[in-house]
Amino acid sequence: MLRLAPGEGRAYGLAGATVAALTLLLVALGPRLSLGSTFMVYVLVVIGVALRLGSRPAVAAAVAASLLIDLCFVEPRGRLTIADPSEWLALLTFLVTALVVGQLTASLRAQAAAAEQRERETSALAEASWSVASQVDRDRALAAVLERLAPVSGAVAAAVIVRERDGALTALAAAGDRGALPDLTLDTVHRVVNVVINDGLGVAWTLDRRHWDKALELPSAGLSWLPLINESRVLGVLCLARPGAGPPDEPVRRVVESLANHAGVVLARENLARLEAETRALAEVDRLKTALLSMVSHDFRSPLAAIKASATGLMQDGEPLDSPTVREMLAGINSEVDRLNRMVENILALSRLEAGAWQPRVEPTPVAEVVGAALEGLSKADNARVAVRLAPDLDLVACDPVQMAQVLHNLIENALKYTSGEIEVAAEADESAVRLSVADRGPGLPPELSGEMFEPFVRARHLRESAVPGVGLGLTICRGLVEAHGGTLSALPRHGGGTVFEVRLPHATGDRS
Amino acid sequence: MKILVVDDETQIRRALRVGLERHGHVVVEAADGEAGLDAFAEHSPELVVLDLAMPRLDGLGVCRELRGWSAVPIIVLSVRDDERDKIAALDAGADDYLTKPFSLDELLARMRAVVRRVELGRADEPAVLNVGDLTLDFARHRVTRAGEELHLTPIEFDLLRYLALHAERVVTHRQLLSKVWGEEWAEDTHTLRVHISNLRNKIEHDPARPRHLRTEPRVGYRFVSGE
Repeated sequence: MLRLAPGEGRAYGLAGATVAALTLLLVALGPRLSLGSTFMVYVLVVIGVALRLGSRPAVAAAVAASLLIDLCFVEPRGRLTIADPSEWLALLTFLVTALVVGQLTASLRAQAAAAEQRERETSALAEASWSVASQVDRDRALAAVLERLAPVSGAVAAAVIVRERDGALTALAAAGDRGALPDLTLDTVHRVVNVVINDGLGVAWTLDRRHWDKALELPSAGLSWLPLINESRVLGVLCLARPGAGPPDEPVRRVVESLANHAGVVLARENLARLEAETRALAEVDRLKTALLSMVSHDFRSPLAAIKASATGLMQDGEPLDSPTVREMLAGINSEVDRLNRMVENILALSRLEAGAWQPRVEPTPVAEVVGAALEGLSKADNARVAVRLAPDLDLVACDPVQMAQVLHNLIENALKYTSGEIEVAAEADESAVRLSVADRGPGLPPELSGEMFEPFVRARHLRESAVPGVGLGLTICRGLVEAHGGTLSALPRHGGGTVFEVRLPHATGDRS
Repeated sequence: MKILVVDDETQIRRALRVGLERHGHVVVEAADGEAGLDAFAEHSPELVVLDLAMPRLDGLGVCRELRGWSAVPIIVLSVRDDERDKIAALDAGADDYLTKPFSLDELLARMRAVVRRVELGRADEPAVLNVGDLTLDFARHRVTRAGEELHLTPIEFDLLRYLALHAERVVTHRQLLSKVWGEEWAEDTHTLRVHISNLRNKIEHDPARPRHLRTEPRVGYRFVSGE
């Protein structure tokens, strides 16, 4: 049974109409043309039909022309019978000639079209390869592949869809008319994508319906789904919107599947890059862990030893201790516990920073509030050593108020710890940034420390045997927090002796209301 | 005073019992949330000290449950990290919080503050409140510092009044915003920060070292009446 492809009915109609129009023209002209010339004119028309409309309409045109010639130009006219046997032969010759010439012409046309299609495919593949190789960004590379897809596949829109860890679907890239693409939240879409990912086979793509029946109730007609495979793992799904088109023919399938492979390569490359980043992060965590362990063994032991000694001393039988001694030992335990608590807090802060889990919650904040919060929690004696100088015209500063207060607090504590005189906390602004500074009149920074002062555990290395308590995480945390704000933290020699730690926070861009 | 201590750590419960009993309080202990609710029903304590992280019904759940039918003062205990739980507990009706590790002195101070607050709440709102060198005249909407009148905007006055009436107690951003501005402003912490800053400039001698209007990082503010 002959089935008409879409548009083929129109081709037959056009072929018939052309032949009929020619016949009307020739009849109107009257018997001025010989039968031989009439045949030639019809052959020309059949060639034209073959060129424009293809082989089957050309056959139809040849047959229709034979019949019409018989009816209109061969005696007796108006009837299919033929009086002169030689005209039989002429008509038969015409039919064979028209058929053969028509088929040859149509096959030439098909070859030219195939060559053109191959050319398009080759150039699409070459361009896609180039995009994949030259475009580092995943989404842009995918978009470039999708752009090439539309002209060779007849798709009006295409998208690359991946399934996230939580099962949600995301379109990483899309091209063409987005309205033709499916809604990724629909249940049916989920079902189709899951079938494609789990089975690694296309849905509504090949003629083999067995597979797509699993993904029943396709959300809308005209969508095709292909797996994006790399090294036998399905990394995503290519969705093509080809409304009105049936399953594609072999050449289209070939080129689309090649392009899908390109998209698969892009996804695989992204996965590799992520894996590499994770490995690097793990190595860094490992380094920190080692440093942390060595620190725990040194710095944690001393407060623990002090607590243990005091507690067991208090528990001893024998001569009862006088009450000032008891108080003194208890106060010792208390302050060692505070010290341990601070260390634990610093380590927690550092690990959150390193894990990138401590995003600042930036909001426009009055500078005085940051400074006030930083000073809170200092003892009365320490507070008396701090002079505060805030420029009167200070605007709001864009920062996370809690984190910035912690930065300032750490810097102030640091200055109080390493020096004995008064320290100055100041805030002022210039055109580009707000500057918060903590200045002391201490001995200044040892030159050998300046390069690595903000590295974790530096104090543990350089001052391990010193009498000043602390772990050397404070400055690392400060730097991490300030950098998370897009600012800088630096230590500079102070004019007239001492050190200034300066935080520069860029002004918030845009709305500062 | 009869105090219910709900905490899953035996050492903490023991230390609190010893410390609180030395100050003349009676202590009832419970080791998890469910047991805490049972003990509350059985002993009707006058104050609850409640750990947030507990097995079988956590502190937040206990807090919500208790607030369904009791106005008993509740102080929650938490570790530094669980700010969100802390704020949730305060918004669910807890009266104050303490961050572990804490000293017994801090706990006693918090207890005194919440109990005083509850007693104040029973009486009518005072017409005039004296804190430090500040005098708040609620009837006439006037604030004076050492006799000198301060010019506060109506919003600043409402803020100060709410904080002063809840003196010594932490008030969350959400509570302040919804009480002073209205429920639909409850997330607008930025506005709050700016007004608090202006208020500090007016009522504090040294706004960078506020004596009265203290910041509780990430949680809210605490009005401290004196030192």
